[in-house]
Amino acid sequence: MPWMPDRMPSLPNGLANGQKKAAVVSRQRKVDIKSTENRILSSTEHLNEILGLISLLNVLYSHMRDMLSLQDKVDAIVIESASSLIRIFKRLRRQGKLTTSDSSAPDSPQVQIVNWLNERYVDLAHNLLNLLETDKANLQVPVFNQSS
Amino acid sequence: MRLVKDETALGSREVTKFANKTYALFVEKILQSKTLDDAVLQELCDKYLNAYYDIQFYFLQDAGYMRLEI
Repeated sequence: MPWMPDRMPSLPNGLANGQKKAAVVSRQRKVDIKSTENRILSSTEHLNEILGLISLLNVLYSHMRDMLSLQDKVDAIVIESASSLIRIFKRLRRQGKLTTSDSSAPDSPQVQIVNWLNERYVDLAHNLLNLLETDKANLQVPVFNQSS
Repeated sequence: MRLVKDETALGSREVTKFANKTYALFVEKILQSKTLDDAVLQELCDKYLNAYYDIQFYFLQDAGYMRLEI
């Protein structure tokens, strides 16, 4: 029988495998969130990506809440995506992209986009408010105090 | 609260109108939440409810019209 080590070799920086993976995922996510925000704000072609950010608010918490080693990273991603979405909608609102002009036809693409954005805005509000149902103060505080 | 502030400040109308539709969702969630942290509740009172009359007024109004599960 070939020689086998009796335990797995430790990682060079002393982190457990799961923690290291979580740190890498967290770094990638942060970059992704920021670049997604920039893409969404740069062109209407990327508005669909709002859905991805909203899902980060929801899915990350519900599916990974039991993985304690990932919890802090997950919280950071949730807070980051919440801030990002709030900034996006603030910018869209300031640019008047959440309201239609009186002269637009009700079935025009412009109106459909505005309606879709308003629906996503309501989704965002609901997902943010769902954070109040978590038992974690660090997730509840951002519902009140997101920096712009 | 940031959404409510932005919605109120950047609304399309010429006259500023409080974004009560979003705020009512918030009030409902606050009153129904069983896990709201004490520090968070304190912050809500200190920074918003006791500081701004419009927020206080709409909080009481929305709470009055709400269907609470008791």
